[in-house]
This record gives sequence, C-alpha cells and structure tokens, in this order.
Amino acid sequence: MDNNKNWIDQRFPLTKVWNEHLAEYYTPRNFNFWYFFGSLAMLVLVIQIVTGIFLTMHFKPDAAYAFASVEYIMRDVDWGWLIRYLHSTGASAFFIVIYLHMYRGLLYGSYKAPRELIWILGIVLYIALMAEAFMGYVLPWGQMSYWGAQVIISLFGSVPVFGPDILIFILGDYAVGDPAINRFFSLHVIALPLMLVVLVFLHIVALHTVGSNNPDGVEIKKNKDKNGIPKDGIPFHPYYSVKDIVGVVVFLMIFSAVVFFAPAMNGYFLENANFVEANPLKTPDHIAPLWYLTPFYSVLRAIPPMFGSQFPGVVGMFAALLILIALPWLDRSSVKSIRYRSWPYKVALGVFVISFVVLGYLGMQPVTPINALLARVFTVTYFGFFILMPWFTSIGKIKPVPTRVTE
Amino acid sequence: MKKQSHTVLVAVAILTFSFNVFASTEVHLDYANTDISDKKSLQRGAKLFMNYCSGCHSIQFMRYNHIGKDLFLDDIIAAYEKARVAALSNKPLERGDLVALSRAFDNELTNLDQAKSFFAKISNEEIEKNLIKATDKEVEKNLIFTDEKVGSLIISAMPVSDANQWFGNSPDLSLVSRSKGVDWIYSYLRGFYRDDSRIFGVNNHVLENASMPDVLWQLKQDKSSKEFDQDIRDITNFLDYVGEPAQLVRFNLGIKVLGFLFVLFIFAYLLKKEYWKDVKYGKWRAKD
Repeated sequence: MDNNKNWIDQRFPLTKVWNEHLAEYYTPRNFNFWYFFGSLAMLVLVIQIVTGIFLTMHFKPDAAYAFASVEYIMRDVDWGWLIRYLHSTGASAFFIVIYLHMYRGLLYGSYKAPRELIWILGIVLYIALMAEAFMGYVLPWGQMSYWGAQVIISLFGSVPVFGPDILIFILGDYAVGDPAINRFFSLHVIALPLMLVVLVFLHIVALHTVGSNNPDGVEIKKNKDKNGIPKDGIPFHPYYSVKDIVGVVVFLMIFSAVVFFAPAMNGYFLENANFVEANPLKTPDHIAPLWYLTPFYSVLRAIPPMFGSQFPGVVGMFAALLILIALPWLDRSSVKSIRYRSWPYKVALGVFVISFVVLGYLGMQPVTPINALLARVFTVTYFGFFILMPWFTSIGKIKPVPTRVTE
Repeated sequence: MKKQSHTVLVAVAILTFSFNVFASTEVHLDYANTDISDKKSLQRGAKLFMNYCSGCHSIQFMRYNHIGKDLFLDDIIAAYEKARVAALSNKPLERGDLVALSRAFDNELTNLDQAKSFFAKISNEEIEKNLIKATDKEVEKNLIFTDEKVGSLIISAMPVSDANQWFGNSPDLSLVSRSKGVDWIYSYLRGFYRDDSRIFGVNNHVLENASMPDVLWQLKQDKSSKEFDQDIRDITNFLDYVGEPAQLVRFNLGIKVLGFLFVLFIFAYLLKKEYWKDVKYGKWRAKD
C-alpha cells in the first residue's frame, strides 16, 4: 500500500493535496449551523450533474418533441420520474442552499478582507447558476418555459441601438423556437456546468489559501502553536467531514420528503401552467419566473419604462445582482461578525433580508397598484443597503472582539 | 427589420400586460375527494374514460399496457395466487378460480388434477410472462375499442383536424390533472347545465361557453346523484393517475427512503459525536 502511494506521489501530489485540503486543512473549531451549506451546495451540484446525465440520455432538445420526451421520461423510462424529480427539486434546493450560504457570508462578514476574491467568485457562481437554472427551465417546453423565456430574452432587445440584433443573435430566430431550445440545451448541459465546476474549484482553492472565516470573525491563523498549527483550528478531515455527513443526511431527509411527497411543491418548484405544452399563439394570463429569480424580476418591473424603453428596468435588474460584488469595499466596519457589530448594521441587514423576501414574493404576484408601490419601496431599500453601507458600518458602538474563538 | 421591431413590440406588450393583469376571476370548485390508492375506483374510472371520453380526447403520453400493469395486474396476480394455493393444498378449486387460471394461461383447466399437474411443470418465468399477457388481454377486452396494440399510446379516434373544425379543439387530457387540478376536473364534469342558446344545448359553470357537449347526460339521467358523483369521481381519479402514474409508487418508496435516512442519521450522529470528543477535550493533537 505504501509502495503504491509512493509510486503515485512521485508522479502526482496525491498525499500533498489530501493533506493541504483535508487532513491538514485547519478549520476553526467553532462552526455552527450556517456552515453546513457550503458542502451541501457541492452535494446538490453533484446531484444535478448525475441526474442531468441520465435525463440527457432520454430528453430530446427539439421544439416538436421536448415536451413529449419529458413525459416519456416521467412514464416510460425506468425510474425516470425519480430522476426528473430529483433534478427539478435539486434546482430549487440549490438556490435555497446558496441563499443560506450567502446569508452566512453576510452574517459573519466572510466577504471582508482577506476573503474578497472568494466572495467575488461566489457571486459569479451565483449568476452562472441563475443562467443555468433559467436555461434548464426552458427545456421542458411548457407554457411557462416558453413565455418566461420570451419575456426574459426580450429584455436584451431593449438595449439601445443593438437590441434587436442581440435578440436575433441569442435566439437564432425572431422568437423563442427550435433554434433557442437547441442552443439552451447545449449551454445547459455543457457550457454552464463546466463553468460552474471550474468556478467551484477556484472558489475552494481561494478559500483554502486564506482559510475559513468563523462565527466570531476571528482570524485563527494569528494564533499558532510552535508547530505552526492554529490553536483554534482542527483538521477538516475527520472532524468536519464526519460533521458534514450529519448535515448531508438531514438535508437528504428534507430533500426526499419533497421529492416523494410534494415534488411540485404546490406550483412553486413545478408550475401548473408548465404542464401545458408551449403554444406561441396563446399567452398565459400571468407570467412569472420560478421563485429563485423573482426578487430580481420584481426590481425589473418596479422601475418604470423611460423614454418608451424597458432598458432602465433591465439595467436595474442587473445592477441589483452586480452590486453584490462591491460588498467587500462598501463595508467599512472593523469587525466581521454580526456578534460584535454595531446595531445600525443589524437593523440594515434585517431590512435587507425583508426587502429581498418581499421582492421575491411580489415577483410571483400579478402587478396591482399596491404591489407596484411595494416593489418600488423595497427596490429602494434593497439598493439602500449597499449605497448606505459605508455610512452605517462606520457608526454605532461595536463590541470588543476576542482574540480567540468562543465556544 | 420590420419583423424584429415587431418582436420587441410583442415582448414589451407582454411585459406591460403582465403589469396590468389581475388573477383570472375565481370560479368556485367542489372538493373532488379522490383517492389515488383506490384501485377499484381507478379501474372504474379507466373504463368510464374509455367509454365516454376517449372518442374525442386522447391521453397521448399514456400507453394501454401501462394502465394494464398499474391497474389490473394486481387483480390477475391475486386470482392466480388464490388458485395456486387452493390447488397445492388439495382444496377443491372453485369454478371462478379455474376460469381465472384458464384465462391467464390459455389452458383449459377443468379439474383439480389438471390444475395440480399444471402447477408442477410451469416455470416462474413462464408464470410472470403469462400474467402480463393475461393483463394485456384484459386491457384489450375492456379498454381498447379500436385495432390499436396494447403497447400503443392512447390516441383518440377523432382526428385532430376534425376536432378543431367541429369543436374548436379537443384537448389531450394526459396532464389536465396537473395543469388544472382534480377539483377543477370534478367540478367541470358536474358543472353542465341546460342552456338553449348554446349549440349543444348545454353550458358549464366552471368553463363558461365550453364547446363540449354534456356527454355524461345519460349517466346523470339513469343514476342517482350519489352514484353519478361517484362516476365523476372515478373519472377524475383516473385522470389524476394518468397525470402522474408515479403517484402509485412514490409515496410508499418515500416512506422507505425516509426510514433508511433516519437510521443513517442515528449512525452519522453517533460517529460525529465520537470523533468530536477529541475536540471537546482538546485531545485531537495527541495523535502526532
């Protein structure tokens, strides 16, 4: 056994990689509940890739056959229904896990120096994931797939001067149709997943270079013993690998409960209207994207057309996403963790979370005068969180940060 | 260029449309109270559907033999089991059991000795093959009124072009339970009322100005209202099954999966606890 190991180690840094990233990767000992979601996001990525491989074996990316081929998978393919539900539930689960993972970053200031690059890679991952989910949602070719795509893609048509040409370039046609489903399929099964996997790799390499943050926001590398091992660190493997297994099993219990007992999640994970095949001649009464995209859809709708163009709304929607990248530089506080932050930050974070959730809810609802007003108010508070951050992170009294992590 | 700007216009129109539209006016729907695990109800629903609905409506994603396997195979297996147990324990075979056996195995069995020698020489694979064949025969007899094969998808006898000409359209019903819901189907089928201004003399409470005639009028006339409601409930139940045949298996499988995960959780938790004793008592570094 040792001979084999040596043979490989002379040719590939197996032991070195194992030690650097697992057995001798020192992780703060005080991780709490919020630290399960990184490993869970990787688990969901694997679930999506594996189920996706099997779905691709039976799915037909053709406007004439796509809808029928999904129903063929649901009925005639052995275990096809299970694979499909794992994949559709996995899509929503991915976003639940990612949103909680990102919220953890906000709670404990994980985006602050020296972890800015991890945060930026994470945001790029998040945006790539949204594109991946959107393309995937078009593939079953139901009414919502079709009309959701029509609405979202038409946004690019609102770009001044080049809009119509961009639209044709994206769709390969004047409207969403067979060329669109074919290229979305290509992007969904190879281009974007490849990008996601590479980004996840970079995200983790960057993390393991600076080391993990923790609920106290204390840098454990500042306190090392004579062997150079952080005093508050424990090896990731076996301690966090066995802990993450517990998280994985609990997650799988909740995940399976949805897959087996409520795969459509009352229309939130699989919309009722999407069980009707795409019909270009029949616009549904109410078009809404799936829940994980609705906060940004709300921002889009909240900004009124200017000079007869939807373009400002489109800019607002993308700004709402891209502004996340600036977070490490907007935060002026000297402490990372919410435990030691001043009260203005706590209030602001609370308002931000409420804004995001309400915008998400409004994005699923038809626009009424009151809803439109609410969407505008919460769009303002959403952006306010970022724009006012340099101010509210530099006022108020912070609590003293301990030098070592607390239990 | 004209076409492009048209696309953008349409898209903008859709956006503004979604700005202004209110949820379509709600119609009161009755509670269907169906039970997907009630096989007898599903069987009755299948028969009613094939008799009253399939002339005009397809369920194009469903195959005849899939319905056979899901809804009728159990009965045939049960009949076979009963006969087998009786024959092997030397109990007198009932006439019905012999008939079931003969039907299943293309074999004229008239008495106990014949049945016993039959069970002695038949192999397990042959039994399975024959039971499925018997199910197919049952399906052919009860559900297929055309010259379709049992493996075919269930397409309506009425050509789509004719349907469009005669009724406007005649939608496929494979997924109606998923897009509209069971309560909608139940309420719609019970919702016909007399309206002489309409071409077929009926209108519908749930779908105003529906172009479908009240094809179940004869059932409504001949049966008590309770029996009629049960018929509608059976059709609704069957369409719920057709919308997602996996419903028949996923609940039971889900319970098993959750049971397994629960046991796994106990072991995973104990393993974690054991390892973390090191961390708790600061012993983890003792190893090096």
